[in-house]
Amino acid sequence: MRMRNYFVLMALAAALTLPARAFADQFLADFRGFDYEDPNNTPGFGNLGDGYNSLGDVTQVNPALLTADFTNNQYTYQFKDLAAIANESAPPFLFLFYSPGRFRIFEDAISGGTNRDYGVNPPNATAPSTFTDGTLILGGQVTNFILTLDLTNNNGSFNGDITFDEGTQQGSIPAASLNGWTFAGLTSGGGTGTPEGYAHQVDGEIRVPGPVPAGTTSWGKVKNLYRR
Amino acid sequence: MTRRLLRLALTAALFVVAVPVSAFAQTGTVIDWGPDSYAWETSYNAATFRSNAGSVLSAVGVINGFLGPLSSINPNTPGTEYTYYLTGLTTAAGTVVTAGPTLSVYKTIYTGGTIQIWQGSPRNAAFGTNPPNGTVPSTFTDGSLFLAGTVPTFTVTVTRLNSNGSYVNGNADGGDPPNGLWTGGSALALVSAGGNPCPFRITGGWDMRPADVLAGYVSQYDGKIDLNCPTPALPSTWGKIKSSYRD
Repeated sequence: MRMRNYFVLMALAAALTLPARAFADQFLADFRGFDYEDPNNTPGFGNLGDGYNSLGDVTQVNPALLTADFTNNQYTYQFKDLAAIANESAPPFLFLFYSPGRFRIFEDAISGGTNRDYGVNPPNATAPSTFTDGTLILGGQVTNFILTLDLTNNNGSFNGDITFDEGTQQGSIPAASLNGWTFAGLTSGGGTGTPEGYAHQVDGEIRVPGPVPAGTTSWGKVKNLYRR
Repeated sequence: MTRRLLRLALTAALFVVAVPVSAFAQTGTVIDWGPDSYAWETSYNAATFRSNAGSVLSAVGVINGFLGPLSSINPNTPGTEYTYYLTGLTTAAGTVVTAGPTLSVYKTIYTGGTIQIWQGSPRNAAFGTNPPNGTVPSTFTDGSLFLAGTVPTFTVTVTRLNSNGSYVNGNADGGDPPNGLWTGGSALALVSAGGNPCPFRITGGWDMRPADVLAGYVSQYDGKIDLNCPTPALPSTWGKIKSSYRD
């Protein structure tokens, strides 16, 4: 029993020596792509019942959480199965609320794999298929997905929570960091190079909770934990 | 009928000849940056989530991708880093709030900015806290000037919860049509066409979650620059145009 207390105190001492972190989230992955609606039951973007999808490249990962070889592999992402189920208006802004969907990251060899190809008017013969081939390295359920749309210029942004539950590298993420979140800016119009049939250029990140910050305390308080 | 068609075709051809810049062939992202990028302001009220009139926005970051005409350059080359410094963006009106039933949009329009992209060795960019500081912007503006340009307009749009002001999502945009103008740097020729710098547009995601933002900064800015490069019309003669409609 005494021995166990000794180990507990040693662990606490170690924790006390760790510098406290100034912020709690950490970067997981950076992505850039395009979005589209499928199904698109009503003409125009952001109507109730329409499905939100996004495809693109994963451009950077946190090497402490995911292993990626950008020299030899192509990393792609997919948002899918998100359906607009409610909206709210604050002209000229429209807020869209979505049912749960899924986010996935795939790894595909550059040599011998299939180069991703957006094509036009997705879904098509190459999209999403060339973004979802290869190895599923990480995936999760997306909830609380909200998309803000500026109806004057069709720009917007989104956010959502992600609970990672699949993929070959799911195990490399600490259990405490499996509930992350995502955000992105959505850009429409000139310069974006948006392929025909896609709605926006998408640029965003996945972030997850970081290590629990150590708190400062005194030996007296630590000892008090074991008194009674 | 044939004559009429010919006249229409010639009119269309005349339009092509008369308009020296008619198509935008090379568009899309040329510069990208991700998690290592933060912005700060001179007069931001963290209690009201508003930038005060006259506040100046700046941002620094590490570039993680070059694409299109810059794709031959690897920004992740060991020992070398490419960094950006965006500054001088001033808001005349401050943040304007548009309220909805449960969510509100906080929109701030800035004007009069510049951007510089630097190539430097070693990889020494350090954000520190409460910029400007001993390393910001200095460690993002060392080395040699890769590109420089003007950013005439920049709009930040952030959605927040009405109940407690919590950040929901956000974006930043230089505006459409693209109005950024490259003015210098060693890579100027790579982002030019026909001897003229191509217009560019700076955009991206704007993250103001307190858990993601370093002390003294206002946001983590995952952004990029898109090029909107015109393809100059080729010179021609009436004879060539007419011959293309014969037979």
